[in-house]
Amino acid sequence: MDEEVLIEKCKQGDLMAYRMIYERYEQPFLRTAFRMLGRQQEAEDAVQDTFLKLYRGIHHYRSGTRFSSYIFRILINSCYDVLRKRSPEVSLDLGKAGHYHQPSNETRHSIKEAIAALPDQMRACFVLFAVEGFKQEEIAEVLEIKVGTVKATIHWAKAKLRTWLSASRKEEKE
Amino acid sequence: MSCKELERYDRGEMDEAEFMRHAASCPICRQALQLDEEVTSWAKSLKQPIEAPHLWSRIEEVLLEERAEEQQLAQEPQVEKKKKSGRFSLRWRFLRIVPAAAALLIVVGIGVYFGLKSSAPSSGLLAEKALARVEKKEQEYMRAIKDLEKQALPQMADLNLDFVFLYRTRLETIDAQIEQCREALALNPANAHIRRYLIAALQEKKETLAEVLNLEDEGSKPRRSI
Repeated sequence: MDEEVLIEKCKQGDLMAYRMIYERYEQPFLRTAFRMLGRQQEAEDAVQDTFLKLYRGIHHYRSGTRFSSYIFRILINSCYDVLRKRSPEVSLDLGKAGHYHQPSNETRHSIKEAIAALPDQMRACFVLFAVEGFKQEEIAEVLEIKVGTVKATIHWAKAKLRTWLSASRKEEKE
Repeated sequence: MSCKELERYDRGEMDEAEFMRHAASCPICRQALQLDEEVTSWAKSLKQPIEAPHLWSRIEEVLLEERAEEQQLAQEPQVEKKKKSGRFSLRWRFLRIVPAAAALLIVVGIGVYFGLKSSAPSSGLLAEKALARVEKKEQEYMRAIKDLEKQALPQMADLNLDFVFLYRTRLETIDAQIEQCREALALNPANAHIRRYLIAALQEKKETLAEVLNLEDEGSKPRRSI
């Protein structure tokens, strides 16, 4: 079914339409939320919260804007909400915005931890771009930032991950 | 070991094409490009499916709750309006009470039957948080019903006997449904389907009591005629 038709049905409160939207976005949503939060339960909570917010705010959605960007924006904001509510100890593990938290020796075995250690917005940019295959323009819409900022952020994320990978290789040799 | 061109590239001061040309003659930057490719390829490998079999049930539960709240809010002003107009079709009520109660009884009966029948965990099971929310909602309904009962039941004595009979029958039917749901929930408290039927029954009871009160307020109640 056409997405515009589905959205209209959602605006009329049709739960089946919400279900069809869920089926379309379930996997990219779960993956993105999981990469943002690192825990499946929290990722599921964020997806649930996204649908509740979508239900409450669907009347504010105007056709002409990309629905995928609109709904992913809600998801990313739900993830940010979860991260904000976390205790400082947990936040430290995933890195605070603006500060790259170098992964510890124990966590250097996996790229997943390296991505988790990126600052929040950088992680969102990188996951949407490199894992989910979003275009930079779409990411700019989702995160409500300039395309140039997205480009630079992805670039920095790659540089950090490259540094991590290089350090990891050196450690392996030693 | 580092290269100034690589630092420029990392700061975004050099575009990709220029950097590629430089990397062709610089082993450090060539290695950096190779690592970038590895990072990209690893990131793509993270695009794996994640299993969340009960997630839609949870979402649906929350959306249903939200819709019930909206409907409740939408109904409150309508009751006010009707009070003001003082024109409630009594005949219409007669016509709609019996089928509504019968339909609810059938729906609750089927729901409780299937709810009891399925002892294995199903998609209708409520998560702990959702269960707490639903229980809270039930308690709210119970409180509202208690308040309405205090006002409505004593006044029912003054209604036309036909109405007394109809409303009593309806309330007894709803009470039986509530009881049935509670018994089923005692066996399986997290069954979302039964919880939904219970909420529907509680809502129905609240509306019925509000109707009784509304009859009183309208001053349209017929005197005892039979």
